[in-house]
Amino acid sequence: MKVLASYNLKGGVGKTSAAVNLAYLAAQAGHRTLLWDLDPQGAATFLFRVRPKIKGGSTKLIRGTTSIGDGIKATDFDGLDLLPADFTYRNMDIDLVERPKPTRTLRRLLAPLNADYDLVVLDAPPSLSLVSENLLHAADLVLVPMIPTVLSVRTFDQLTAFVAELDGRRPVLHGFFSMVDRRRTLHRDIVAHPPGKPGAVSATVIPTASDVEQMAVRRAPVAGFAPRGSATRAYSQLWQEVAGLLFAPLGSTPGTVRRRG
Amino acid sequence: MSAPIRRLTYRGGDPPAAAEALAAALSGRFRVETGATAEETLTYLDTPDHRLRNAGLTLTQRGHGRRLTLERTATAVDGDTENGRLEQELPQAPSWPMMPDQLTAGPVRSAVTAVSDLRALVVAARTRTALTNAVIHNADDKMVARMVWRRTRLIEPAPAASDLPVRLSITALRGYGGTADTIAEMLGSGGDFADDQGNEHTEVLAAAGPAPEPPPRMNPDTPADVAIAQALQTFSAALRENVAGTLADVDTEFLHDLRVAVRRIRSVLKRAGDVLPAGMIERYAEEFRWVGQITTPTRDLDVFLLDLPQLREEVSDRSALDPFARHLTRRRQAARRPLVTGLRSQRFSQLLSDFDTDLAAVIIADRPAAMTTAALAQERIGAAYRRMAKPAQALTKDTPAPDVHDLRKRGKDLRYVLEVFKPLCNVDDYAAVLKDLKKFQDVLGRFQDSQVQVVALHGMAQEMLDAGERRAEPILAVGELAGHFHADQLAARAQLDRHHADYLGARTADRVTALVRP
Repeated sequence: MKVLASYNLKGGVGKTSAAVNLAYLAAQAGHRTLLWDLDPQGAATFLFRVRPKIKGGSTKLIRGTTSIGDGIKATDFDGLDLLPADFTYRNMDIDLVERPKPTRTLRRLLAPLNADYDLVVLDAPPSLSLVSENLLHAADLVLVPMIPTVLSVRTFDQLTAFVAELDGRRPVLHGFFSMVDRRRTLHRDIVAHPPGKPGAVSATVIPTASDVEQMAVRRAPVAGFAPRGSATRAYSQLWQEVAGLLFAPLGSTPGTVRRRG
Repeated sequence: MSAPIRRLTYRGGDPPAAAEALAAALSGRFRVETGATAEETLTYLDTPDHRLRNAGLTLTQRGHGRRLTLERTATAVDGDTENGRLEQELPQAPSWPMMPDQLTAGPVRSAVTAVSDLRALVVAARTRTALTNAVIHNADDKMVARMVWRRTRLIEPAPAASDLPVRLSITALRGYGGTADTIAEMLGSGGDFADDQGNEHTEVLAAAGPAPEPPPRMNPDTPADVAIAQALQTFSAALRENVAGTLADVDTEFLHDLRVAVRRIRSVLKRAGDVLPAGMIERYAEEFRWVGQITTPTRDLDVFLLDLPQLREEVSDRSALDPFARHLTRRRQAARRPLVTGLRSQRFSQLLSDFDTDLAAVIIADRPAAMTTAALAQERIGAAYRRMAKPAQALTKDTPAPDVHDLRKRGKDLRYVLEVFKPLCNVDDYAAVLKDLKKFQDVLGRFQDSQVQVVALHGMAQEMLDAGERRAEPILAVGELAGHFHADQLAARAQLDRHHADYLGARTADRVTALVRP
């Protein structure tokens, strides 16, 4: 089972759109996929028409009193399930801090699902917190959406530095530009000069598209209602790239371990 | 991750109205979105005598595909209720009828052959089902359950007058089990839908043709001629049932069962036919003797062919019997020609028609009874027993073989008479008499059959030589077989000398006297 997270410190950059669309495309490709909406706003949960409720809330889920499996709902799309958000996730940091090895809790909670899913996609809230640290330790690959602006790109560098300092298991970071407007000079310039090392940011860009905005109206992944649109094509291309990184042959598998020196 | 949570049937009479009733029952809280309808054909297989059905099993083929499915759908007649489902993919689509051992080796073949024995698999029924998929959405327009409608119609052996009940199966999506419970309860509360307590497979097989009616219960006070006519009607029906399968050569049991019916008719005519109107014995005894004659050669060859695998174990070189096997097959093909001609003849169809007509006339005739059935049973069972017991007691190792053969025929007569009057007999005494008689008949049978087979083998060896067989091995192999049968015959004869009194002695005589209930 691989874990893919959609994460950035900055909000409104397309994390949920990426998580939802990539989870959908993964399921369509035949991977048994679970999307966990960790954001108390519950945007991904809303898009899949699921009620944002976990029995017992965040506390019982984190403690393990509620089985993670009991909270899972099937979406309307074959092969794709959802662990919905709950408003009590706003206190998840407090719940996590009480656990032994608190930064590893999410990974432990996901372990029993190993036989049931090929891929878990985490849609994380925009913050630097115990929840996000858990996400970084749980993920094999962290997809970092960025709007092509200076401040947004800056967060990629900040995240890269933060991940480099993590003890133990570290994910691979892979950035991509989202909400790109090719008519804007700044967007073109930043896309042409991405941050990080070569290859750290995808050459695939997700364009600004009304289809993506329509996701909230249609309450469905964009590929579900606009299969031939530019946004779908872009996400499909991104998915191919992500699949290659996640399910690569042995020796190049994401999720390297930093040994203490 | 999800499992069917409820199966329902629509209780209204008009299947197209079921969809409207469903939508009405769920309106306000759920929306039903109906998808495409597909049709599928299901073929039900069974032996001609319903052995799979009696064992609580259903064997089906979907469409014209290669997959067979075996399910336990009912309690077997012996009470076995173990559930299970087996599937097997065959290398090519089967065509029916087919002997089960011709199926590819696998779990389905193993399970079927354990029940079917020598019987072929034939099409017992065929249905066409319209399957409609639907999804159920909640008030957020979220899919919460999937539903499948089934509307099944019987199309073979004959189209049914009406469809089977419309069936729904509702499968909850993961995480929506509670919602699906609510849906099922809403449907059930309206009265149009109810939990499905039945089973479509068993309903199909029942619609296709129920198991044969048991013969009429014999009443001690029934006029004797009526009781005998009713028994003969049952045997006549059994004979008719096996004609088509015999002509089509579906399996060897059709001819065997046809001949058993003929023997029963002949025995009853001989031992109790005098209670029937004058002339019936004379005409029908001769005609059914003719039917026996035209069927005997084929049956004798069937027995050899069925036993051939075992016979190969009796000789030193198994392959040396290959020419013999080919000779048997050619002989059987030749023997079937007069059999088929006879069973298709006007003479045969007239025989059955007139026989049934005359028997029906006896049953409906309103005339005073000369004798009751109980009195007839007492008289004829005793007479048949004495006809056998007296020569059996005189049996020695030097009794000529024809007399032993005659004794076997008398034993068969006794057995058939006992079968006819079984409803009037004490259960325990009947079982004991029949058990002893069967043991004795088995030994007599081994003796006679062995002798008949020795003679037949000598004849066939000569035929093979006449047909140009030049090699010694095939003829020697046939000779080896003859030697084994001869040894069998001697062993059976020795057994007869030692034990025949055990089977038909004083104890049996007492039971026979007390057999018919007063």
